[in-house]
Amino acid sequence: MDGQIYFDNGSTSWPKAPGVAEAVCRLLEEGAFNINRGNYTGAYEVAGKVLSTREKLARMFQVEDSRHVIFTSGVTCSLNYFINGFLKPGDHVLVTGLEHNAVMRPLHRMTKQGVAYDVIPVDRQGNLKAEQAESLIRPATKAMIVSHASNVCGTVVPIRDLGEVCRRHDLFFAVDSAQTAGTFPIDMPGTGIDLLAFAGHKGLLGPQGIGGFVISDRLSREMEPCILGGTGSQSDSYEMPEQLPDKYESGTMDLPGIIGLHAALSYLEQTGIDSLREKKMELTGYFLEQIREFRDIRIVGRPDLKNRTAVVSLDFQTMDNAVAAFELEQRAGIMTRVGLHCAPLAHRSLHTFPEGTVRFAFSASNTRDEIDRCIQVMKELFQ
Amino acid sequence: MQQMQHYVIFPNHDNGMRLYQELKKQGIQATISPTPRAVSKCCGIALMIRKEDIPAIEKCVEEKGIEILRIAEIAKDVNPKRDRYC
Repeated sequence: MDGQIYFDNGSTSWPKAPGVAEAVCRLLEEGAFNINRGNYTGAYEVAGKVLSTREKLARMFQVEDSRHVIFTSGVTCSLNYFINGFLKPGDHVLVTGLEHNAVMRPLHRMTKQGVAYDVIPVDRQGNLKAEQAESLIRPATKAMIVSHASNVCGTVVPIRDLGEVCRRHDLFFAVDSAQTAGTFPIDMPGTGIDLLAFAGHKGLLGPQGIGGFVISDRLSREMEPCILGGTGSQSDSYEMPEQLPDKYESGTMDLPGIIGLHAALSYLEQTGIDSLREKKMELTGYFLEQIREFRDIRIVGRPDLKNRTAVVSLDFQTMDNAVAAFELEQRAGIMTRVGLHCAPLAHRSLHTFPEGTVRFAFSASNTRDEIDRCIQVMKELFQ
Repeated sequence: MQQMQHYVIFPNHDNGMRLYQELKKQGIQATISPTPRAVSKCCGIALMIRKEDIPAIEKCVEEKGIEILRIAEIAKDVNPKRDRYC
């Protein structure tokens, strides 16, 4: 990808962790046998790798029993499981003003079946007004669904405080870690999370199409599976097995995705997510520092490094944001994401609806030189 | 005298793989195999084990919280003359 600069790591990380592509290729070339179906040694070897992937994820999220790690296609599927499989007519839930459509679309549809929700507001920088959460709780409130960090402005939400509110009011707590898994440590039981939805292809540096959720014991007794079918177990019955992970894993699994994720998690274990985060935040700080010099570019969200991820949204005051993104790519191959980022609620909260923003999301593979090049192009365009 | 084979039978594959890996760590011999149809309708995996290892395996199951259905004993059934009558 010579001459191109990838700043769209909020959509998906690139490059992937070393070893991911090789692991996927090796599986496909040397024996992509189907686990839970094939009764032969090759399939058992793949099953061993899948189990090891669950164990790595359980360690990462500090969960004791890796049977509670469920593979899905990603965060959207996982949140749909929670919203469609747990909520019932008459239930009320709380969400934050930073939610993605992965929450808002399934939730909106559930309102037609009698589910109601309220939004915990955020200020203009995307800081959650967490102190207002308790006042929004009603007798019918069953759960809180929270994006750990905004995919638009990068602001991190205080999930520990919200988990405490859920604990006090006996609410189920679902967290969308799309922008934080693999970047911030997440102590799932310590934070009181009942469902942690994760994407394998962003901060975890695995391939697209793989992700999942980690589910608490108490939620696994309440949440119905949304997809039913063959699991390779208890095949004599038309009932879904109650055992985890089978209860939520019908159909053939994305084995290339899981094996790729296994390689990515091995890399993260060796490198340490703290050192990767430090690198990303150092680049973010360097970028923000220079952006502040532009009079006609508004930073949407926090202008500093406090409570944020490496996602920075900009609103170009003198140019249509889509045109700005186009120019950045045309002039220097800079890849960003422009628009509403599938999060109209977040943009409304941040007062950037409907014009949207241009989002820059850095990874540890980016460099200061790339940021310098980007700033130079911005100077050509805006100064 | 007819030889007997012992199998650990599971509710799903995941528990089978977990026990297999634990036994491997502990140096206890186990071989993954399809669940014999004679012992379960569930078409999952089973672990072929030695009779003398059963107490150690039961201890491991208990300690690691692995779900099993039971440990089954069936006659070894490799008979080239089965269903041949002439």
